[in-house]
Parts: sequence; C-alpha cells; structure tokens
Amino acid sequence: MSAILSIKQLSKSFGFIRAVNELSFEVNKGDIFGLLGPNGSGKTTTLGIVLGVISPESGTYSWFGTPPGSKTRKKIGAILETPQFYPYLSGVKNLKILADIKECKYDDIDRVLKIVDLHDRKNHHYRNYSLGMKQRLGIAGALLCEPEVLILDEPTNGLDPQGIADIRKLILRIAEDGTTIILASHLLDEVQKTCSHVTILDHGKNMYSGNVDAILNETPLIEVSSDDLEKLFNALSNYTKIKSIYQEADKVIIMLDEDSNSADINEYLFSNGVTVNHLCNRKKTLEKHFLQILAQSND
Amino acid sequence: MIRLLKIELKKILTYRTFWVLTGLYFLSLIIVLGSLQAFLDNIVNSSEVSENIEIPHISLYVFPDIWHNLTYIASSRYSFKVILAIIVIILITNEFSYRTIRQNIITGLSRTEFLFAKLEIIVLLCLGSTLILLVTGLSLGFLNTLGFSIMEISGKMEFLIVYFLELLVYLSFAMFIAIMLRKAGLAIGMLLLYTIMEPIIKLSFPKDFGRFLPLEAMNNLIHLPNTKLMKLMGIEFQEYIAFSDVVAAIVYGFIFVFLSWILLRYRDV
Ligand SMILES: Nc1ncnc2c1ncn2[C@@H]1O[C@H](COP(=O)(O)OP(=O)(O)O)[C@@H](O)[C@H]1O
Ligand SMILES: [Mg+2]
Repeated sequence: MSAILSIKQLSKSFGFIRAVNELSFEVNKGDIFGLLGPNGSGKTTTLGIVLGVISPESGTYSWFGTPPGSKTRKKIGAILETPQFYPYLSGVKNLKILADIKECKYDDIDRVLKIVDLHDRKNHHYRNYSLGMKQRLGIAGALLCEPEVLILDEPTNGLDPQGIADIRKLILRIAEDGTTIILASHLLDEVQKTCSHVTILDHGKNMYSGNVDAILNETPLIEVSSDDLEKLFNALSNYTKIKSIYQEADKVIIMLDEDSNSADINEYLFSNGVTVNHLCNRKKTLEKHFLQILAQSND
Repeated sequence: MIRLLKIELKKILTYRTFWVLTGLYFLSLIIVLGSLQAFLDNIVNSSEVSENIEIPHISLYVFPDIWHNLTYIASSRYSFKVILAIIVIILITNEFSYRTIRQNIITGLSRTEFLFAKLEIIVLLCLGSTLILLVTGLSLGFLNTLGFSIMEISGKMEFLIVYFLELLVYLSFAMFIAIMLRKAGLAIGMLLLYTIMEPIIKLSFPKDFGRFLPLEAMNNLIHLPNTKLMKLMGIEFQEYIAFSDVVAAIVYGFIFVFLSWILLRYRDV
C-alpha cells in the first residue's frame, strides 16, 4: 500500500518541553486517520511540521513518497488550530486568496461555501463572523480545490452540537470520494465515530497505532462486584481463563480468554462461595482503551 | 510573479488602513513639494529685512535642478519616507498578527514566494512615489522655467532613478525590521528609534565608517542641493551621484532582503 504521509522519528522541542518525541506513523490512501491525544500532547505541532510551518528538530517526513515542499502542500487542504484569515476581507475574498495560492479556479469557491452553509454570508467581513462561522470558513478553505488530503485539527472547536454533527457527516461523505483525511482531536468520541485508523499521542509519543475497529472488536471486559470485594478479587485472580484483571472503584474488571464467557465466571464464583451481586459485559470503547493506554504509559 | 502580485493586491485592495496611509503620504508629498518655493521665499524675505546684502532670487523649480531639489526633499529620512515605511511594516506584521502567513504557507506558498510578494508591493510603492515626483516635477518645472529644452528638462533626471533606488533600499530595511520583530508597534518603534539614534551612533564611529551606516549610506545617494544660496554662504555640496554610494546602497538592499529571507526560512511561523 502506498503511504500518503510517512513520518519517521520526528522530534521537536520548545525550550524544555518536548512537544513531539521520536514520533513515527504512516497514513495510507483513503484512510480516515485520527490523531488522538489529550491537550498538549503534540498533535498541532506534528501537523504544523508536516504542513511546513514548524521546522522539526530531527526526523523526516514525506508526502506522496516525495520530499516536502510548497508544491506538495497545494495538494493538501488544511486547518491548523484556529482558522486564520484577513479580518477586513469578506469570506469570499479570503477564499480567492487561497485559490490564487493553490493556483486553481474561483469556480470552486461557491461550492465549498455551500457545503459549510456560509454562502449567504460570503460577502460579509470575516471579522464579523461568529466563532462557528469562522471555523466553517476554515473548513471551506481546506476543502477548496478538491485536495487529495484533508487535514483537520480540532475541526469541531467552537461549533454547536448541530454543527458538530454536520462536520462529522461531512467528513464521512468526503472520505467516500477517496479523499484521505487526517483528523486531530482530543475527543475520543469524535475519533471513534469518524475514523478508520488511529494513532494515540501522549507527550509527543506514539502510544498506539492501529485500526479503530480492531480495538473495538477485542474481547469485551466484564464487570463483577460483590459485597466482599477482596474475596472476589482473590477468587478471580486464581481463575485460569483470565487475561487481565484490575479493580475499579467497587468493581473488579476482568478480560476473559476468547473461549470463556460470563456464564463460566458465574459458575466458577458460585462454586468458590462468592456471592455476586453484579455481573455484566462491558463493551470496550475506545475511550477506555485510550485511558488504559495512557495509564500504562504513566507507570 | 504576476500570481504573487495578484495575491498581494487582493490583500490590500480593500484594506482601509493601507489606503488612508498611502493617500496621506502622496497628498503630503505633493503639497510639500508644491509649497517649497513659497517656504524658501518666506525665509529669504524675512532675512532681507535685517541684512542689506542683495540675495539673488533662488528658484527651486527650474529645470534641471528641480530633479535634485525635489528628490532631496522627498528622500529625507525624517519626513514622508517614514509613512511609507510604516505602511510596509503594517502590511508585513499583519501577516504575523493575523497568522495569515501560516495559512498562506500551509496552503502552498513558499517562504521565498512570500518574501517576493512583499517585495513586489514595495517596488510598486517606490514606482508610485517616483511617478508622483516625475509628474510634480514636470508640472512645477514647466510653470517656473522660462524657455527650456529637452536637454534641460531631462538634465538631472538620473536623480529620479536614484531616488527610486534609495526608497527601495529604505523599504527593504523596514521590511527586515518587520519580519524580525513581527509586531507593528515594536517594529515602528524600532524604526523611529534607529532613525533618531543613527546620527548619534555615527559620532562614535571614525568619520569614514560612519557614512556606511545604513540610513546614512542611503541618504548619501542624494546630497543637499548646491543652490545659489549655499554658494553665497560659501558652502559647496556634492552635485553629482557618486558611484560608490550607489554600490553601497545596493549592497544594503541585498543584505536586508537576504536577512529577511534567512529569518523567514529558519523560524517557525
Ligand atoms: N510555539 C510554542 N512555544 C512553546 N511551546 C509550545 C509552542 N507550541 C506548542 N507548545 C507546547 O508543546 C506542547 C504540544 O502542543 P500542541 O502540539 O499544541 O498540542 P495539542 O495540539 O495536542 O494540544 C504543549 O505543551 C504546548 O504548550
Ligand atoms: Mg492542538
């Protein structure tokens, strides 16, 4: 498979802060790629580097298998953090400047303005736009001239719930046309709902890279609780068909082997004299996985 | 080249601040150049009261000396030029404060293109100023010169070319300060401070080095015109353009553009 974006051992520090730390990952054609991590984990810095506005300290990256440069950037549509436009110009004039830079025709401007529902306000000054409208103009700018890759850094920032839903739908629709999408977000829910692949960042490090479905389809976790939590925990610890076990508040969480299920557990505990007052399957969401990965990294 | 100019013009065509400042600049330039004579006559007349010496009538607007006189006034480092430098500083620092330089680069502009785009606007401002001087000079010259030949009219027109060069180098200097400091207030403050400080700094240099300080070098292109008044007072000034001064100015131009490029190239935006 051909990598659209390939990042190798990228590092960048700001003073004492190591914003990106020997980061490597690849984005393949057609992916909806999520860059997930808490605030300050280095998502924007990483994207800033591959978009040519921040110079990396060490490491390399390449777009479409070629070294980076302004020519390749013309094939990418991107918003980085907050939208950046000339406040004294109208929305449409701002987009014309972007079209001139990208060397494409103005015909496309009306289309992208309609997509983000800003067409009737296109002649108003950018400075008079609301936060949500500014964000939507940013997205329109990124969509301009049908880029091969779309990079959206926290695209739902400042949008109302309807706007957020619209953007998610839009992302999925654009991806259907074969456009590769890179979505940076600190919202697990957002990545889970839209992305096919994910790289989880923490302190600029790659904590996990993989398929979103693969994470979700892993063996479910089981919650068990009992009046005597210690006895329950000890009993479960001795059970052989368990992959992992940990305590969470008044529950014990276990991950079973593939050939075992919650009925077996119930039977086992009953035979060991443990009375269970709660037993249920917990579908493992990306969020829990995410937290777990981060917890491991802090050990 | 055309593409970059198109982009830059879009940025300023409906930018009020730009047009207000540019209008102010051109207007004050024309008014001052047009009232120079009256101003000088006023001084001469008032001095005549106390002195008995006959002072010959001095006309600033006679071909070909008019070109030297007008360009000298227009290129004074303490006057109009400063407005033009402020315009350039605002246009460039805006890109940093709005962070539009970031979006420009992300969208596909190279840093070198960004620099050239700004240089094109600077060249345009210099051309505009030179054109204003040409038109003002021709009008005033025709009104005030009796009997003229083509030779006389174009006699010292090389001063216009040198004026263009000096403005170009000066605005490159302003561009460099703007790219270095990124904030309009800081950059304008720095420019003004340096303009005031340079003559003082010059004192601490040996005589021959002082004249190579940037603003000094630029101003040396066009010396104080050697009017009859000056001759009367026994002062002689350089009436020609020295080749070494032209070279010094051009070298400074390249230095400022190169340093700007280095800053753009190696700093994060
Ligand atoms: N220009 C900068 N100067 C200093 N520190 C910075 C700068 N940009 C980012 N950082 C720091 O680098 C880290 C990563 O930031 P960022 O990439 O913006 O994270 P994210 O986008 O994941 O929230 C943070 O600790 C942030 O404070
Ligand atoms: Mg960010």
